[in-house]
Amino acid sequence: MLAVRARTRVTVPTLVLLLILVLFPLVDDGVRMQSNLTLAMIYAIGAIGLDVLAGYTGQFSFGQFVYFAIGAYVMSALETHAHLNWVLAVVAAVLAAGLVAYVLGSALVRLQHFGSALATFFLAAVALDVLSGNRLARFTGGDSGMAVPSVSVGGTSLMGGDGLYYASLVVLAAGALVCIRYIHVRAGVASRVVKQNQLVAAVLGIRVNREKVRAHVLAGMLAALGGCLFAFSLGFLSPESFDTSQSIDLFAIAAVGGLGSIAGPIVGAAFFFIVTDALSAAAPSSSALLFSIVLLVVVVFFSTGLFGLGEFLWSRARPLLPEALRRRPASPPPAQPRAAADPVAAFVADTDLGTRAGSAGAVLAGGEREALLTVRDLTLAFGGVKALDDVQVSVLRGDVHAIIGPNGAGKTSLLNCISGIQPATDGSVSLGARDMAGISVSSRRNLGIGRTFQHPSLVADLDVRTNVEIGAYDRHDGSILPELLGLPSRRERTRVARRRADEALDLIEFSPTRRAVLAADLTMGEQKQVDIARAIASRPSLLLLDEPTAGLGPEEIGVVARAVKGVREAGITVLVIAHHVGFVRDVADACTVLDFGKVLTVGSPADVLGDERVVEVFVGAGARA
Amino acid sequence: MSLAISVIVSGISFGLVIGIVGFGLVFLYKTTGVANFAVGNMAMFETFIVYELWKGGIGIWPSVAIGMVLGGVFALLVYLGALRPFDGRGNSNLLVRTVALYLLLRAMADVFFGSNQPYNFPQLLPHSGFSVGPVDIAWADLITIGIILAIGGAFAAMFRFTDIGLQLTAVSQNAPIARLLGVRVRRLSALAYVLVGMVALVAGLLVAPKQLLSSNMMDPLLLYGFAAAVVGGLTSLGGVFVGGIVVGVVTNLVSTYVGGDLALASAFVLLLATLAVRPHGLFGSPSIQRL
Repeated sequence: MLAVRARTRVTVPTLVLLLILVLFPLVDDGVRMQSNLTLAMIYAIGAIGLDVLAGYTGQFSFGQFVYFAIGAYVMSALETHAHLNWVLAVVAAVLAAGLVAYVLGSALVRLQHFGSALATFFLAAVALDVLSGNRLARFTGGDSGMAVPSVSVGGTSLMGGDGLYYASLVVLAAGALVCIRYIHVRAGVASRVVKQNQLVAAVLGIRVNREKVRAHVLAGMLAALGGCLFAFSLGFLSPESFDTSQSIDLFAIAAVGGLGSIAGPIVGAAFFFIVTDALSAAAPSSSALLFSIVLLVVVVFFSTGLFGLGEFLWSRARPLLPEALRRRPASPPPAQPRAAADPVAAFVADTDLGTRAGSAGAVLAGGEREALLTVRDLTLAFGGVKALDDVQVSVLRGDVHAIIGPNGAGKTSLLNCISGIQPATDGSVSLGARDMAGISVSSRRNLGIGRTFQHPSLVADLDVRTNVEIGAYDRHDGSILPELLGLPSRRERTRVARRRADEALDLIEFSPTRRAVLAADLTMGEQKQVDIARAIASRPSLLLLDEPTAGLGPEEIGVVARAVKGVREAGITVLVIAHHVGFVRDVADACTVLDFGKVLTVGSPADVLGDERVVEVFVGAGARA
Repeated sequence: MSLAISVIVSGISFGLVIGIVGFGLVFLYKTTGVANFAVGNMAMFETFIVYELWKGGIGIWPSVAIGMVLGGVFALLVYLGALRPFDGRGNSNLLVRTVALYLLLRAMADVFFGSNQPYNFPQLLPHSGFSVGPVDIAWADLITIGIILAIGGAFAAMFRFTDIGLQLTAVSQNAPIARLLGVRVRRLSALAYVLVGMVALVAGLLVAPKQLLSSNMMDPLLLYGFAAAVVGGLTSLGGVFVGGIVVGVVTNLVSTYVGGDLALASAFVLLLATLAVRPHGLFGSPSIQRL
């Protein structure tokens, strides 16, 4: 990705920057510097929104200045034509931009990053054409433009000078705090899973499109606020002020400052305006040239931007600072005394999901064991090739059921059909009595199907506990506002998720001292463990594991086997794909063998692994000799 | 009615110019994995070079010939300077690089050639036309169509009959595997840029005399080209010309009968509609993601 990693701890650098902006007028009260910084802050308001969109959610927008235009024009038109109070006009403009972002975002989220980049780029040009044309001229003045009504607060004009400087600073500070809050709450963390891998996000029950649209709306509303201030600073709106290159400059500001850092785009904006201004004094035409060279150099050589450079310098400078100023290294959380008790009991007790199609608790009831998962006549065809051909699988409640078979036998395809990622050509999948046909990936998860992937796709720039926590939410529904405001019900929800995440990590015996480590720094074995913990944290009734032993050494396989047994003990039914025969013998209660998309045989591990045909499939025809 | 037919014919000719810009985009997308936002401005910059040569006193056709060579060299330098270094950073990174190039080339044109834009570019094609019944047809349109069909045919022949063409096909299907099979992927990417540099100049030369030569002259063409590429299917080298014709005819009809300010908007609607209804376009093939 463009942003090598998104950062969570950005509050301090952002506050430091804002403080500098507060104090700066005391140091330098030149008019020129002030107007540069004012413009920088106005652009930064849009750029931090863009950072949430691109740096944290992984979506591109090369047309973000359209929302500046919406903010500026809607506000001015409402004041001029509807004689609305300016505060109400700003509110209406921001809401209008939010609405447009919602509609456009809903369309854009269906595209990959390239499509979204292209469509937004296109949009900026279309908006400019429409603004210059005659269709909206009654409201916008068309090509000849419109004056922005004057606004003042308590006698201080907001149209420039100190008034506009501090107004921009207040809005920027508020915007930055909202963005920082956003990246810390569930929605922001969920977006980072989306950025990493949309499928994984869906499997964790995250409403992928909703989270993406949310980021669009947040970014659009911030940009519209910036647009209102931009209108103040212009005093007169004409289409050229909202040229397509502005959108690209805005993206460039965010990228040069460093995406995924909130503080970076603010630095980028200040850099852009101060350097542009200094250069245009020296050589009038070359400022655009220099900035585009800077952008190219940053993207090619320092993809973490100015913020990354700052981090690097800080990491070098810190050892030189006096002891008192050094930040203590991220202290490992205090050892958790309760982990010692009984992890399985704690895990099972903390479940209120009785309504699910087969909750974990119901398993221990005993008696006649019924099938939890039933796969009937499942066929999956790609053109003429049948990846799955009339497959029947029945997984009994409480079992660990292994799927084995050579490469290309259709094992992962089977899991994809069960978790809903791949629609089956024919046949049915049911969980308990419930047919899964037509149910989306994230809804299947909410009904109790958890899964892992062959390549664990943890969010590399989040720590272990947060990675698991995002999987621990019962539901990813609900409005964003209560989350941002930190209402008690939302805080309780987060607290429960955090507790359940820890219980899940306890259950699979994940070391308590490694839970604050970033996922990027884990070993392969640990990643597989955390992946399992993330999948069970929401207490699914069925866990699908895709090759949890692939690429692991014998010791690590032992750890995974213990984790699987722990999961089984907690009453979760497991369907596991495995290559490692010892592992299968160790953990499985039953075993299905797939070959060329067909079920070869079913039985206990001992029977199946002793079967001549199975040996032949695995070892090859030569084994007969 | 005869107006409509004239509009459609000039729409087809314009559509093929769009198609050739879109072709550059698709060709680079297939061979380098990234659709280059700077293709339009590469064409613009190269056209400026030809203009400067012509102003320098050599005739227009020698200028075009020298410009073709310089266009290839220029595109090669773009690749080596901006896209080749650290090319393993992922497609998003490369995409942003092309946007940076877009800005850079425009800024360079403004600085080097800029002060009195726009310029009148010499006419390369005859002004006259002829009538078939009530319909007026311009020679320039027919010649444009001929030139572009020839270029398309040359590329088709290259893919069909040459070893380089086969290697390019392999890279566009699956670059890592092509590399394992011994194809020098980076060298082919460089070659692709050289070819696109030359094709882009053709587009620039077809556009400049009709409009005026300026640093933003290719912006609408780039957008139309993207629309054509999406409509035709981002992976289809032939489809992009069909997409170009669709976009050219539709936008021509819209600007004649509805209004010029909605021409771009109509192309945008075409693009969105394609992405919504048939994301892989008319001729593209859907991609399959492996888990």
